[in-house]
Amino acid sequence: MEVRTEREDDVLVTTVNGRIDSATVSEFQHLMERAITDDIRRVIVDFENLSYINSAGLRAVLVITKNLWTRNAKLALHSLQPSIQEVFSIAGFDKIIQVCADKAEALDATQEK
Amino acid sequence: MAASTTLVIRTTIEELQKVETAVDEVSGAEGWQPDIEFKIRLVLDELCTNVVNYAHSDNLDHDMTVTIESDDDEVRVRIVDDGDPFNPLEDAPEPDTDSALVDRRVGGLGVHFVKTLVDDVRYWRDDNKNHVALSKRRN
Repeated sequence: MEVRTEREDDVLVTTVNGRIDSATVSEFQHLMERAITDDIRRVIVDFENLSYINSAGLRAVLVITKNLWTRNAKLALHSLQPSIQEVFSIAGFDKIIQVCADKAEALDATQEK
Repeated sequence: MAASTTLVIRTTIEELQKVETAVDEVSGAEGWQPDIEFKIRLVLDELCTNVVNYAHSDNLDHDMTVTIESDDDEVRVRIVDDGDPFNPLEDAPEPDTDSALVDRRVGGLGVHFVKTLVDDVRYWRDDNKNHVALSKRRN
């Protein structure tokens, strides 16, 4: 599992490669939380090369999203593989987390309106 | 074609890598579609992780047995552990898939995936062991 992050002003653009499972979930959450500094207003996560996620991984995504929400920052995921998109839907995460087709849509979805 | 593998592992998170490898082997031998492979991998992961984390109140490592069978029509999985009696189909917490973000709870999602993603799943207790058997059609 690899997390790459890049700042564009107050937007954190991240790419996750590999698997988020019981062995890697702590590192995933730690790397994301370390990159999300207080001045970050929007977090965009590219899941195109995420090959696997389990319920522990979903829990971490939820914690990160909740923490952002409490300080009025926003998160959007994009480019999910079909199986992972299906798991998000079954978990009902698509009702509480922005899941977008691509990066442009994710940037638009998190724009201050 | 048909393939079958049975492995006995210790109930530790590290040992679950052996289940991963077994999924890779059977999937490769049987030519599973990526979607089937993902779902079998996920339900095995969730069920085995539950056994490792919660099945034994004595905090010792135990053995558990995982069997994966596949033919052209379906995939069958069985998991046997000697933990405390636990029927994941009835005893796991109800998943919360509707609450708003701030109220959302995540317990029970793993078992919810199992119930949703396979065609048949059953539990029974026999010889002081928990047995979970499931099947999923390949088409």
